[in-house]
Amino acid sequence: MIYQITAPLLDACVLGIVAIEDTYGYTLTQKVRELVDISESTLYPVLRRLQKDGQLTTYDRPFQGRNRRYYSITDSGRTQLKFYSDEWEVYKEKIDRLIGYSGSGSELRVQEYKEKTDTDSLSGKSDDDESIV
Amino acid sequence: MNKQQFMKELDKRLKGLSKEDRNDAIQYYEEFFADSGVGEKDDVIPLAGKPEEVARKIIGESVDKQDKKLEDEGGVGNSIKAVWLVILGIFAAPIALPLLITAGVLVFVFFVVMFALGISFAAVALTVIAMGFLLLPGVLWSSGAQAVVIIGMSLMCIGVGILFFYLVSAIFKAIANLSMKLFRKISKRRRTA
Repeated sequence: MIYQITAPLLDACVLGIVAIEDTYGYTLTQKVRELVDISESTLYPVLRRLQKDGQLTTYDRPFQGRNRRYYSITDSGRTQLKFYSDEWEVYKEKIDRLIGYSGSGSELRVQEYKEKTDTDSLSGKSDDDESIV
Repeated sequence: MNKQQFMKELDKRLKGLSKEDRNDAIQYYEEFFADSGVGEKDDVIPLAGKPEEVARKIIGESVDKQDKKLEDEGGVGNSIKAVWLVILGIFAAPIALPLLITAGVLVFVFFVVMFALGISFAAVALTVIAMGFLLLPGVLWSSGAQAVVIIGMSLMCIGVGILFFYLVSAIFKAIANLSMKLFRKISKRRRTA
């Protein structure tokens, strides 16, 4: 991955994973690792912070003679996740528009873009002609 | 580095945190390794990263959290924990160790000096107030105008002492807030750099 993940984006991903089902530390890390490399996937501090902020809660379940700590999302966590996901949607669209080639129907978009600039330059040219005349 | 070495190193590097925070982190990693099914002798760094890196992040998070709390509460007050976390934050910053030690010691000395100055000023204020009270019994051995002068002097001492005390505490609170803000900024910039 050449793109770097930011702290809010990582928070959003963690909340998103936990919103689907209650998860424990190791699987959470495994899922996040599909996205970022190890040096960035130290989730413990993130989880601890989200927990202290009241966006996540924890409970312990016995598993093979020890405890496993599950993280589950709170109402305020869901509100925050909604906010993150809306923000992401806006951001993603802006980036897509600039990149132009991404996603489905991208060729169409390129075509549209070209046509638009062509007409722009044409009309610009005619303006110039008029001013000369 | 195997599991045991990792845990030992992590525990060592988290020493500055409260017992509760430290235990929580240790427990998380115990569980993490148990769930990962990593063997006693396996290298855990590909799995969890370097313990010093992990510790730095955990401490960094605590410092940020403290920052936020400070901002919410609107000041330092007499929070020794805040001072301690500033020092920890500087240590958590990824700069060379000798520099770190120097920076940490400097910050520590700064706070000690400020503390000592604060105490001395408070002592002066208290002495002046005490003088006011000690003058009062003089009234018993004097009469008329003399007594009025003594009462006036003692009241003046008490008043000036109290005013001085408030003034000094306000100035020191302002200095403490300002310097904390500055140090936090420094340690934050270092960490993100």
